[in-house]
Amino acid sequence: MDNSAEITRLLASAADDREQLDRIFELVYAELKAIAHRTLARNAQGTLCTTALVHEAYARLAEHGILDLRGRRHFYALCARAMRQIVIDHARRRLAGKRGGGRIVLELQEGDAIDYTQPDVLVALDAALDALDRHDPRLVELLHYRLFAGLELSEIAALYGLSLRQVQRDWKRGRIWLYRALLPDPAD
Amino acid sequence: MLPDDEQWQLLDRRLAEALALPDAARGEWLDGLAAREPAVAARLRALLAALDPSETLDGLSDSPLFGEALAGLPGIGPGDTLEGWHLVRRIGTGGMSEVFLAERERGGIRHRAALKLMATGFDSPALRAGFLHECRCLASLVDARIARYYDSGIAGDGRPWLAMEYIEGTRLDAFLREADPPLQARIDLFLDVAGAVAHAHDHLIVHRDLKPSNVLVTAGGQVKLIDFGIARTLDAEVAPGLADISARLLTLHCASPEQVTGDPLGIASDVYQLGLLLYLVLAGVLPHADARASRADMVRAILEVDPQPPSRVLRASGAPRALQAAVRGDLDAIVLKAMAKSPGARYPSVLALCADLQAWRVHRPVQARAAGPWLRGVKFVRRHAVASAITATVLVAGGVSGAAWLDQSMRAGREARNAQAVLQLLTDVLYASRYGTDPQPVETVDALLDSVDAQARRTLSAKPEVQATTRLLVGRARLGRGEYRGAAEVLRQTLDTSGLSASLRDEVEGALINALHFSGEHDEALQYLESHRERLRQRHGEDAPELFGVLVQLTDLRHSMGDYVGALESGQRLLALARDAFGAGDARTATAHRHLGMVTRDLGDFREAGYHLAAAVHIDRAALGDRHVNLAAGLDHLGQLDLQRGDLQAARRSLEEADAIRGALFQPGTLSHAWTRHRLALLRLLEGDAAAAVDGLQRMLERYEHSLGEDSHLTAMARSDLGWALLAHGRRAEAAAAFERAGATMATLSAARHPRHAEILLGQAAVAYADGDLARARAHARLALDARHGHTAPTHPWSAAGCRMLHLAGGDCPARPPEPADALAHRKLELVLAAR
Repeated sequence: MDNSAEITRLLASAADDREQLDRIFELVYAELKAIAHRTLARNAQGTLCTTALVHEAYARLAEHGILDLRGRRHFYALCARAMRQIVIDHARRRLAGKRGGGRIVLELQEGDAIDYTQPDVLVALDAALDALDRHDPRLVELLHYRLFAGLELSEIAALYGLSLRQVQRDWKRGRIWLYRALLPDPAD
Repeated sequence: MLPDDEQWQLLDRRLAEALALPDAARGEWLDGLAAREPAVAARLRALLAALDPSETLDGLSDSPLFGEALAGLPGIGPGDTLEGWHLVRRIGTGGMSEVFLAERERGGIRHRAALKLMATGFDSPALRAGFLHECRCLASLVDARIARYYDSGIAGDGRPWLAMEYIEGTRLDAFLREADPPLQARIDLFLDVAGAVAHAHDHLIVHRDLKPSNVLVTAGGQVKLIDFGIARTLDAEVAPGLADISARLLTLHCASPEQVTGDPLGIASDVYQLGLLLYLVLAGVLPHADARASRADMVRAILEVDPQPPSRVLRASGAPRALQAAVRGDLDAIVLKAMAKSPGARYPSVLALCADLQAWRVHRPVQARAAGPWLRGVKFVRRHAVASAITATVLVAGGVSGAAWLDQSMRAGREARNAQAVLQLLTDVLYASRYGTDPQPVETVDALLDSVDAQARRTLSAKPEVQATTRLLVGRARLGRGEYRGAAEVLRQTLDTSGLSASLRDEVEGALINALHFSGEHDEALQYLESHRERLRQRHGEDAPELFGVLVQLTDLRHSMGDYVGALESGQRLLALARDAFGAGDARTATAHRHLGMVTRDLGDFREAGYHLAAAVHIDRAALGDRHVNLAAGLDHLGQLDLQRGDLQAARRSLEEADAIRGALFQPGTLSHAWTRHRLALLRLLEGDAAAAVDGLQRMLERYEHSLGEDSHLTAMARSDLGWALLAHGRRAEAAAAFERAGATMATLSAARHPRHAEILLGQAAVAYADGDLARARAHARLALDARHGHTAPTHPWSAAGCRMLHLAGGDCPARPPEPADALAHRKLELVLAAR
């Protein structure tokens, strides 16, 4: 089944219905997977750029109809969620190969720099995002766009109808909380 | 670890406040906060310290791990095997699929295939069944222009795949770019593609995804259509769900409007996409190329924007002017009709599209432009006007009774230029923007000319010269077709247009005189001719070269009217004028000789006629070469004279040469040929093959009837000749009917006293004689002699034949002329008498 048309149709018809969005999520996941396959087929080097992937997925949707702002927001959110799942799953597999699995505990101290591109950090980041989501789901969604869908802050601002400065402030605030969440519980 | 929610809320609010401040002001703000809430301020400082500009969160999504994650998603690739097909390597990707070079070994033979693996799978059994059914349909397509279907299946992950003939070829667009074939070769290539699609349609399969990448050209130049992968059988009941799906698997910039809107797809969608390919073939680019940047714009373009005509693209890209001109008009219209937004406005079938392209090649009107009778008119005129005007003119010039004439050597070039100019005008002024209007079929050329005329009257009243020139063209086209009455009507009206230049008025009047002449309105023609001649005399003086044309017409008209004596007078004047003005070796002098020869022949002065006609042929051959229509006309007259004199060998030589010239100059089936063939049929009669003569004359008669109508004296005379042949063949009743009909026609023409009416009357006398009705035979023979009396010399062979008939029937001629034993009239009568 072609996903993009179905995604478009569902996005266009969905109210912010959680259940429906979950269904669309499955489709978006499959779509990204399909595009990744095709991209790899085209590209002998096998390098994949998330941003390009997501934009191609969106472009395919646009063939079937033009999404409104809300639809686009949902779509990118779903892409980000799918990418998060793909990447975290991959990171977990990598770690499982190395360490035999188990809970990730980062040995960090306040002030340490963190390389977020490491599998263990990514797995920890997944948990950190979940933690932040309990306080501020909207902020997590915003972080998602940048972290997993690769959207520029200006693009995110456009999706929300916010100024770039507002989004830049939120982005900083989000990074601060993520860092905080990755640190061990303060002893105090 | 994050603080508990209460703490978090508090800190988050302060954090937001801090971040809203400019960096420079933040320290002071924090100091102020520390004074009031030292604990909060301390924690905020710690939080803000975490803002590390070198952190990797910002470019996280483009980190290698993401690429790895995506690449590591499970899939099928080279090295895998699908039902015996070993995937060797990826060779391409379609919109929703990957294509592999695959190999399979069977019975020791290695097969290669292009294996197409869909990117996503069918998750319902019904869809899988539909897919497999579709594949079975594809298996039925066997055509050298279509990649063969080999095999198909559904992979373990639910994705369908198809194995097709592996083609090593170049994509259509690349081929066009690299080989840059000439226009005709491009059209041929396209017709191959369209032919393949038509073949598929015959098998109820539509392609639905025709685009440059699906048309390959092999090194041998063979077109191969690939990727019927999303094709669907037209027999839509089988897998309705599948149709729905394939609608979405499309490449946007090649999509038809109904694909974009998700409407059902059928033949019309393929016609649209073929139009798109034709566009590419002609213009070198796809339409809407500029809109390709944005998908939304693209969708809008497909649904709403009419593409530029290919010729305009060529112009913009600086293509050769000849190419632009060749594409402009018909080809533009064909492409745009195929690409009409509404499926109903396109060609109803691929074959109709092909037929239009074929029509374009042979300069026939194309359906795409049927919109304007104008457009068809241009085509018609372009093909026929000059040729048919010449044809009819020559026919008539050499006509049975002689008829009006146009001096081809003088006029053909000018006429062609004139027609060209008018056509250009019509094209530019009137049909420039008439693409795609609702086609009104024009059934007949008559109707076509009517509409052209009506439109000229309606739309060109502000431009009397253009209007008159256009209507003159219509009048001439009618003349050329033998629609003399219609021609006379339009030319009469045109002459009434005010504000015409003197020269244009002369041209219109000249054409009108011919029209009146041929339609039998001899008196009115003569009136115009006299006044026309008078005007020219006053303008240029008596016997000035400018009077040449009018004298030709006068000689001709008088000859047609049977006024052979008057014709002799003007013919002699004509010859003198031509010799003085143009010289003895000029083609116009030859024309004068020809007319004089025709008149003296019919007067019965065969010696004089032989001199003039031989002179005409001699001069024309020297001045115009061996392939000129004037030469053919002279040879026709000479052949006819030889027939009348009874020199059958000489007649055959002349007539066969004339026939060969006409064959080289005119399309088969035109009146021009009929004229010579008519003489050749008479020759057969004189040679004793009455059956062949009947056969030939019957065909000629049909041609005359078709072109000139029943009322023409030319038709009547051909029917009379047929009567004689029938009589010689012993078919008396049929002959009687033919004479009857011919006589009735002649009786309605010019005072019923035409000299050539005598031939019909004599035929009727011969019928009566054969019937044994001597009184009737005598009566008809006397009428025949009367018809000649005063018009031709008493020694004319027809008069001799008349006297002989009268004598046989028991009557007597006061002065019985000698009978030239070889003459046509004598021979005809002999044959007829023998048949009795």
